[in-house]
Amino acid sequence: MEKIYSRPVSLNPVAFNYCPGCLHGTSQKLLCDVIDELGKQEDTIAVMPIGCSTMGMFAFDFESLGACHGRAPAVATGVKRTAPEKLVFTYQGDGDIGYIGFSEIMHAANRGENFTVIFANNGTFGMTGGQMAPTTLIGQRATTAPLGRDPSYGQGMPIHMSELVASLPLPVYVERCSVDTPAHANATRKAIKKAFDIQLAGKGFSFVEILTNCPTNWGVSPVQSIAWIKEKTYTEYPLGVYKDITQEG
Amino acid sequence: MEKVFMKGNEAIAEAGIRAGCRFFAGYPITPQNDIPEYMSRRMPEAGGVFVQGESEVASISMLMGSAFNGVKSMTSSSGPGLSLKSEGISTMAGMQLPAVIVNVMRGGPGTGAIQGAQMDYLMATKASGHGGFRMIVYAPSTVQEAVDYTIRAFDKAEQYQQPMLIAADGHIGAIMESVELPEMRPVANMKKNYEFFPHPGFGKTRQQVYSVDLNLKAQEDFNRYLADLYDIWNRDEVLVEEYLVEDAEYVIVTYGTSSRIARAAIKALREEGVKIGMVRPISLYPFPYDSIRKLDPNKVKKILCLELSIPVQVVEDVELAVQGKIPIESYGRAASLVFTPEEVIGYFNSIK
Amino acid sequence: MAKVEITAAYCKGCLLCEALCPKGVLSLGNEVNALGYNIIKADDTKECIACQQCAVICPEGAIEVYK
Repeated sequence: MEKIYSRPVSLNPVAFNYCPGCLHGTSQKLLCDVIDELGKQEDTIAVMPIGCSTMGMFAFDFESLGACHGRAPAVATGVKRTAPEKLVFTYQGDGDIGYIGFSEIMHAANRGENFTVIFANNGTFGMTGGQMAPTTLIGQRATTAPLGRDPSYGQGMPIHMSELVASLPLPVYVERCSVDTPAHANATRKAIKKAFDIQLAGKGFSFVEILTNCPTNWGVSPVQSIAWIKEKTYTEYPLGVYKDITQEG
Repeated sequence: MEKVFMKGNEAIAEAGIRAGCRFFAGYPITPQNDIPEYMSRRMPEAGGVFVQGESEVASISMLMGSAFNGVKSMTSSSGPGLSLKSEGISTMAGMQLPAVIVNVMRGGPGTGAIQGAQMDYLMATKASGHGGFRMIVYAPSTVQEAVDYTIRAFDKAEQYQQPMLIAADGHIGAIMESVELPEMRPVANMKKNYEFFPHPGFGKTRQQVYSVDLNLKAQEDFNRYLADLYDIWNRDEVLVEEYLVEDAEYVIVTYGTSSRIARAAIKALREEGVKIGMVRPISLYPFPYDSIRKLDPNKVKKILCLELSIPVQVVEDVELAVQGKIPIESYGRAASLVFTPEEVIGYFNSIK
Repeated sequence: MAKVEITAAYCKGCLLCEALCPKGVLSLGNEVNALGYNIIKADDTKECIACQQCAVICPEGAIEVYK
């Protein structure tokens, strides 16, 4: 028999520091898969954020560095501008990108920096224990929104990062994906590959949002969290390509 | 060597370029705007990268990226901007990434006064961010020193793989003086020489650089490593000028622009026969405690601390050195207002 | 002929694979790994069709597929 599905080479032979069923693992495994496929393990620099997302730092077997909370797109700007030949990406969560790092993501996108942002959206602050995130759904409970997120209570509306980034003139490619099913995971893999291809061709800024889960802080089992994404998350955050100027002219 | 007439801020920028700096990110704030403006036209000429960041926070973060790649990197700002950069500076200290940060100091607290002042002494020397890290801090008193110590700061940043600080004041940034610029150095990438503290969990063979360690023992060992480094700085990196202190009965302790005014006052007082001298810290950290500790309490009647800050901040380090053995007075002006030599003499006569 | 191989050291028994397997090959076993999790076991008597769904979704990269 021949091995037809292998664990990526650029993924360290260690267990992820994630809770059981956390789709950060799936997303980061897909990233490593694409890096292997592109043969870029030796030429990749990952800029990691603050939050659960950063745990990839122990998993990735390529160069990486850790930004302050929200600043990964600024750090990646410094990395890519001084090493344009490298494959550079950030991997950020929703608190990182939608709250504290909103300025950094919008301005890196607005400058059209030639790197890729991977945004894992699970609607909660995982690492700090389930506080309200900018992407928390209306009515979704959080430790800082114990009655459920309520815009009339001053807690704001879920923020739509892909749509906001796509509204800027310079980003080349913006897609919202999911990893809740194998088919969606394969589509996410394609989106990451496309984003990296765009970067390697020097075309500019690419942004891939991945809808993920947080069984621990959603208070559901991993299997139930998959149903949650289907029932609740898609409605608020529709999957799809929000910008792709590689298709134009 | 090339002798030119140059403004302090621009001289600092040119010194950076000549030291091999090839990445600059910054954000506008008075009184340092000449630095990013100069860099925006000079850096492309030199084959480097200039980025106007969306904030001070983003600018210092960009330096993390460029320093990761081994590129000599610089940012500049002033008081309020340094507060914002403190997040990134602390992180770079934790990541062991070299960079030169310039604070062209102005008045405070808050937005304060936007011309020159020396109101960030304690911030610069004790806590340029959270977590108990230190930087070597140079305080130039002339445009020539601004050039020399900017270059030295790049060397020290590379040697110790840590961020370093130039604490210039707005007056040094704004004045024009004749200055000798050194030859342009060949650009050397630092990455291959990087040696990081061995944090377990991160790549042994690949460069993986973080300011976090989930292994608490390893983090404590790293804190010890930094403490040892600061001991080395206190032993090897103190820079000080002792001016007419041999026979002095009165000693002024001051730095930067204040030291120029103090020097004029000392010259005038010496002509009147007053035995007065000056200890001028050039490195604010490590502080030249020994130069003050060795003053003879039987001979020195008083120490006068001068600073363009109210309250005077440098007095805290002087007190640490004197240990109550010599009376200390302090005199400052703030809000970007500057004392004159006559004002200093008047104050001296009131306390002597 | 096809089979899945599970690396015990990585598996956290999250059951995402079990829920997806169209042939009922995968289920939670009694073996406990070093992380303290009961891990998934593959039932050799069931017919794996190498659809790879379990491997693709596995957040731990613990499943490899042979055909």
